[in-house]
Amino acid sequence: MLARFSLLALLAGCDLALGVSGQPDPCPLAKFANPNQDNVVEADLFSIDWDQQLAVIQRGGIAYEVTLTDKSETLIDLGPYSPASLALAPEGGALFYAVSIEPLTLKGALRRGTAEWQLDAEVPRGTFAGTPSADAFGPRRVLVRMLSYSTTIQEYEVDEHGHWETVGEPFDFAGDLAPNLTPNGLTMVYSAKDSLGQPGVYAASRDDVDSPFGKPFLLRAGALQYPQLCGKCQQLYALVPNPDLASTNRSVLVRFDR
Amino acid sequence: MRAVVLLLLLVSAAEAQPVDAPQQAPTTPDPTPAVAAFQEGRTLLEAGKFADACAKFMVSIEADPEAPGTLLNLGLCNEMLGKIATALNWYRKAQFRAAETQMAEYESVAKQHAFSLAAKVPTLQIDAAPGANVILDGAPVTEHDRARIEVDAGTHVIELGRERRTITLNEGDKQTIDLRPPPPKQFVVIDRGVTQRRYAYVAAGTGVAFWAASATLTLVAKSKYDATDHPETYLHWQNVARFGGTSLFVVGSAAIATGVYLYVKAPRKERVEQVMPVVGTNQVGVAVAGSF
Repeated sequence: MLARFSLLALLAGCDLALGVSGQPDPCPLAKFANPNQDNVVEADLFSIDWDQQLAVIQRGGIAYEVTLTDKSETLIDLGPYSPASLALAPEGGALFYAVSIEPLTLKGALRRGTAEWQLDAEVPRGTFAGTPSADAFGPRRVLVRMLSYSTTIQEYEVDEHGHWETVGEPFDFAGDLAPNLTPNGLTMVYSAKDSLGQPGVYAASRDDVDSPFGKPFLLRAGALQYPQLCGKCQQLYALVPNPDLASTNRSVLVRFDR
Repeated sequence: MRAVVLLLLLVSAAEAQPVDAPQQAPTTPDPTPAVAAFQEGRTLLEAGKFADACAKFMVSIEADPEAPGTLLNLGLCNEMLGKIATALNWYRKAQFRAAETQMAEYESVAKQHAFSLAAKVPTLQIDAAPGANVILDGAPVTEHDRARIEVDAGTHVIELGRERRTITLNEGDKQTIDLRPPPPKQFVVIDRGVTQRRYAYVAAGTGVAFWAASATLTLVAKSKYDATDHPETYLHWQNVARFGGTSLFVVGSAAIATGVYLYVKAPRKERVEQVMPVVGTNQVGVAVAGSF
């Protein structure tokens, strides 16, 4: 027993030396100063899974699934109303979306197959939801804007029965829609304007899901909307104004790589 | 019998001193100091007091260095004292001087004695480096004389620089003294650890390769680990780093440690004197000397 333990202790060296701990860590916050960038698809809204294989977009009021490897698009039916926000679960199997009805309403859908979505899944109370955390890191968490005209954000956690329960205290949020969580739930990213009115993408981290987020960090300045971090925050997806004036769409989904 | 003959000759030699001494004067009121010393020496010689006789003859010869009779008697007294080489020297001088003055009888006697003593005089050969300052019994020996030095029987001291040797020679002995510096040693380098060191290099090189593989694998794992949000994926790469990278590192460390051990424990290079054949009167073989 002791020999086996000693062997294991001896062999557990290189991972610790390089900080490969196996524990979920918040993303190291660093600027996307000179990233490689790649136009993915024209869109007005978007959300991407954590494998960066599947995206759900809305363009011209219509929702599509997009396979990112070949950028093929498939029309999906999310009901009669146009989505006003999209937030795909990291696994790509669930979607929060807000529908433009009065009052603005948060909806949920579960993916049953390619382009097959089962509507009316249970959702937390609120208007806009960001991308939730992944199931692999524990009960799924999501940040939800309570009212479309207020700045209050409430965090929810799903219980074992699939019901969403509030966790922690609501907090003020100065960004657009609702912050997107990284899959481990330790970093949130959003677009906002600074005190001078300059737009940018901000992120804030916490050491564990029960701690409050720290101070926001400017990842990249510019008019980038609905940012999402993927690949341990090595990739940033966001909508940027479409430079192609001939296009009918206002924005394009761009991938930034550090 | 020979001594008697010799004495007779010496008496006649003494009477023959007019060649060298003023005996022919019609009136001989006082002998010269040389003659007086010679006569005293003769008296002592006949009395068997050879050393005292030699001393008197030396006084006489200093006063009259060319007197053949005195030279001859110096040879005689020294011969009686057993100083063969000294006696031989005086006999030769006597022989030479007699030849010069055409005193055939003197020459013959001197020659006869010289011949007799030459056969039994102890001789010494001193081998030394050219230019070496060899001292024999306090007197320098020229390079020319070193090949054959006639010495009296007895104990002698030979010096060369710091080296000092004492030898004893008996009548008829011939001895060679070698004072030459030993020849410069020829060394060869023998490396008995070359194979072991080669193994050490191989082991250490293998260890370094394992380290490099460990570093590469771990960095790849780290890169993959950092690039994914999937727990199962980054846990997989964590295990790759933990077990793969660490195992390679441990194996590499062991190989390097082995290499270092082999290198440190390898026999050092050795300077060995070149093997020289040895052939002696009662031995045949090789000689090896070494140093570290």
